[in-house]
Amino acid sequence: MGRNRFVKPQLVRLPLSDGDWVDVKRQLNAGETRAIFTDMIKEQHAGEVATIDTTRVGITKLLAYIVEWSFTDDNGPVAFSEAALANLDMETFKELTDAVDAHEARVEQEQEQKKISTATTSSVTSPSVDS
Amino acid sequence: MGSLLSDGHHLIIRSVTGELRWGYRRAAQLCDLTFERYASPTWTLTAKVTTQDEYAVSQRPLVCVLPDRRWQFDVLTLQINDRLLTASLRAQV
Repeated sequence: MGRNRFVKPQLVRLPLSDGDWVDVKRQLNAGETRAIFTDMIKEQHAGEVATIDTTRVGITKLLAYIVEWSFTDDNGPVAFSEAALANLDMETFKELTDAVDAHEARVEQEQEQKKISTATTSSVTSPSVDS
Repeated sequence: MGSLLSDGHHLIIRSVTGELRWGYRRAAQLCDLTFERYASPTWTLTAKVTTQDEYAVSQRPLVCVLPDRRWQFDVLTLQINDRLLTASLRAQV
């Protein structure tokens, strides 16, 4: 049987400064990954280069990854939303971006390692054509 | 948004909106939800399906969530026919 090629909805909690945290998707599926780019496009006409909405650069990845956070304001907990994201101070926005980028790099590295170990195991255990 | 009716043994919860989730992923958006429970701990849900992710709906476990997560139910059985959903549920404690 082949491997399961579908993304399971698993969450990872990333610690932030001052005891805050953010829950992110462990891995994006194909639709979510494509949306990071397509959600940045302002205009696209057949045969022409797409125009990017520069105000959405950086935001689409956070929207794709973040599910929940611990952030509060003077009125209490603030639900995660695009509007709330846009109202953060720039330091926090950068902290989120760095945390999500590091998470993405870590998961990609884990997957690469897994591929290498799977390839090594199968080359050791698979019988050769001659045997 | 929602209402709770009871005559002692028979409980009914109604909600205008709700959704099915597979993990964090929205599997279906629902409207006009009616939850009914008699003596047993199992609830019966009927609702209209507004949108659905065919793949996510086929996965398990699914959870039915009402707005603001005030009520959450584990989905035990599920049928969707012609955008009409019928499910048996167990309330999460």
